[in-house]
Order: sequence, then C-alpha cells, then structure tokens
Amino acid sequence: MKQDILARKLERMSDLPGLPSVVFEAIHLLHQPDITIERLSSSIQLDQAIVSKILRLVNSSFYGYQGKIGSLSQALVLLGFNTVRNAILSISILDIFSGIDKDDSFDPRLFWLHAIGTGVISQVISHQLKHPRVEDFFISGLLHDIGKLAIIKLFPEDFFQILKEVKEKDISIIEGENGMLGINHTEIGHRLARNWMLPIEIQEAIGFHHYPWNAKENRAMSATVYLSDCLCRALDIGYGGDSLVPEIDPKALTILGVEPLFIAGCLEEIDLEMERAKSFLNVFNY
Amino acid sequence: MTRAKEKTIPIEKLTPNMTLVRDITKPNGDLIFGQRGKLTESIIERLSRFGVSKVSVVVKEADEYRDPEFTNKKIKEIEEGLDYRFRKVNHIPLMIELKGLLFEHLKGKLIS
Repeated sequence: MKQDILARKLERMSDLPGLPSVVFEAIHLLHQPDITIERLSSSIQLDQAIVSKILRLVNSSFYGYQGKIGSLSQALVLLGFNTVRNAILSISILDIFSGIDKDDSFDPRLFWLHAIGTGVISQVISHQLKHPRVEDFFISGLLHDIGKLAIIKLFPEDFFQILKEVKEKDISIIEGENGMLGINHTEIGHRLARNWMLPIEIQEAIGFHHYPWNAKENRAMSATVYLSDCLCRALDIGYGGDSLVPEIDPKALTILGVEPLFIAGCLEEIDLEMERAKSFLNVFNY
Repeated sequence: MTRAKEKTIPIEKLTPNMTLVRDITKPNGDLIFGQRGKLTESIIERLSRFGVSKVSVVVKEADEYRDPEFTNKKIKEIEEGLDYRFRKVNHIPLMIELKGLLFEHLKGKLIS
C-alpha cells in the first residue's frame, strides 16, 4: 500500500470512539495519593451505564464474589482501586469493539478468547514470578491485540483480505498485515493506546508484544505478554488470526529470568484460571 | 474421584502427576519451576539435571476408569494438533522442547 494511502487511512483512527470520560477520570484519580473511595465512587457514578456493567463483571465468578457486591463503593473496598480501574478499562474497550459480526473467517468470540487466554497466562506468569500487581498483567494481555480490532473497524475489507492471504500463503497475521498495509496491529494498537492515554506500561505491552526487548518502562510486562501470546497459540486457546506458534526468542526468557522449564510449571494454574476467566466473556454476551 | 495429599520427597521418588507445593529456584534466584506446576517424566529428569534433591509435592491418585482406546485417540489428536501449530518452528530446539512439555501436560490431563 502506498504511503499516502496508508497515511490517509490512519487518519481515520480518530473515527474510532474515544474512551468515555469516566475512564480518564478514574485513571487520573487513581494516580492521586490522597484519593478516597467516596471521591472515586462519585466520579464513576456519573456514568450509570458503566456502573451497572462494573457490578455485573465484579459479581461474575471471574472475581470470586458471585452476587455479593451491591455497590461501587463495596467493589472498591473488596477488590481495590486497581482492579476496579481495570474492570472499567475492559468494559469500555469491549464496548467500543462490540458489534463486529461473526464471519466464516473471523469469529469475535474466538478473538476475545485469545485475548482473555493471553491475559490469563500473563497473570499466571506474573503470579509465579511474585509480581505484586498481577491484574495489571491480565489487562495488558487482554488488550494486546486491540490493534487488530482497530484494523477490522477501520479497514474491514483489507482485514478480510489479510485473513484470506494468511490462510492461502500459510503466513502469520503480522506478516499479512505488513504485506498489505505496510503497518501492523502492534503499531496501530500502540497509537490507539497512546491516544487513549492508557498507562504507559500497558501502551508498551500493546506496542511491543512482538519485540518486548524494545520496551523501556516495563520490559518484564511486555515480555510476559509476548510469551503469553505464544503460549496461548501453542495451547490453541481462541484464535489470533492465524494457526501458527511463533518462535520464542530466548531474550524474552532472559528478561523474565526464567528457564524454559518454568513454562511447564505454569500450565496447571493456567488451566484452573482459564475455567474461571470464561465467565468474563459471558458478562459481555460473547 | 481423586484423592490428594502433600509430601516432601527425594527427587528419585517423584512420579508424573504430582503437583509442586513450593518454587524450585537456582542459587541466583532464577525460577526453574514454580509452585502449582504439575510434574511429568521429562520435567522430573530435567529437575535432577539442575541438581534438585528434595521437593514438596501434592500427590494426586486417580481412580477413575477410562477407556484406553478413547484415551489413545485423544492423545493422537493432541499430538497432531501440536505438530500442526508448531509446523514452522519444528526445527528450533527451544520450540521442540516447549512442544514436548505441552504434549506431556495435555496428555497428563487426559490420564490423571
């Protein structure tokens, strides 16, 4: 694709809906050291559609409080600020990308299953590595492929042509995107995450999940999402646009400080957590 | 029905399907194998190569009846699925190792 056509197409990125203002508010407030539950609650309460979805999500078996959380303040007390922030982010982003129809070559449920699988595996790896904020790793994995959704929304014809070529030539989706668009979902996702002002480490995990050694803010998070994406494909969880397991670069294992055998030690926990995480999709009627 | 109990045992007494209770790390702190990981034959052999002598595990003893013909068919499907997904990286040592680890895990889930 010629550069001028590409540039024009990318300008359409602004056609994508922005995140609701309550999301920015929540992210901004969470960075203030003196934030109180009352202040945060009253800010989020302004968007009742989000509040009802938050309550549905936090009462699903994914969080382990089935039917026990009756208010936003209670969710903040029981789950903590960070988890609620991540719930708000997930809800808003899934909303933006809702309404994509199932097609012979693309099933949105399988796409989200791949996203959730990558989130769950990222969470398990960070848990095994004793990271204190495992839910941030979940959200990074969940959102790693939003660039693909942006491509579907902005250039649907190109996307379906890419899927066709990926099958015919037996190539990876990123090779197909580079060939047809001259840009791929990691770069588009990175731009989108920057436009949305997501936390920097999440921006990086989206932008560098194919080359985590380029990350600067949180290389371990990008490497975790990279490894999780590969494992999710290897375990055949959902569908990321092609049926190939990519080569894992040992540099990613070095960043994480693990041996290859470490991966085998995560598999039991991945199986357990995947069962729980499926309720996440049910909340969004996928 | 499956019964489970925790034990600390020497490496030579480990058997497949036991689940680790505590992390195994190298002296420099790198994680070799994390808690809740399930053992397979090749993992046990590799752990001994790291010089591990004793580990704490949960032993699960399965007593369900399973049709061997059905199990063998499922194992073949697992193997074929992995071969297909790994078709472009089948010559890379790290990926061959990973495929083997996944195969053992998926097979273990069927027969445990």
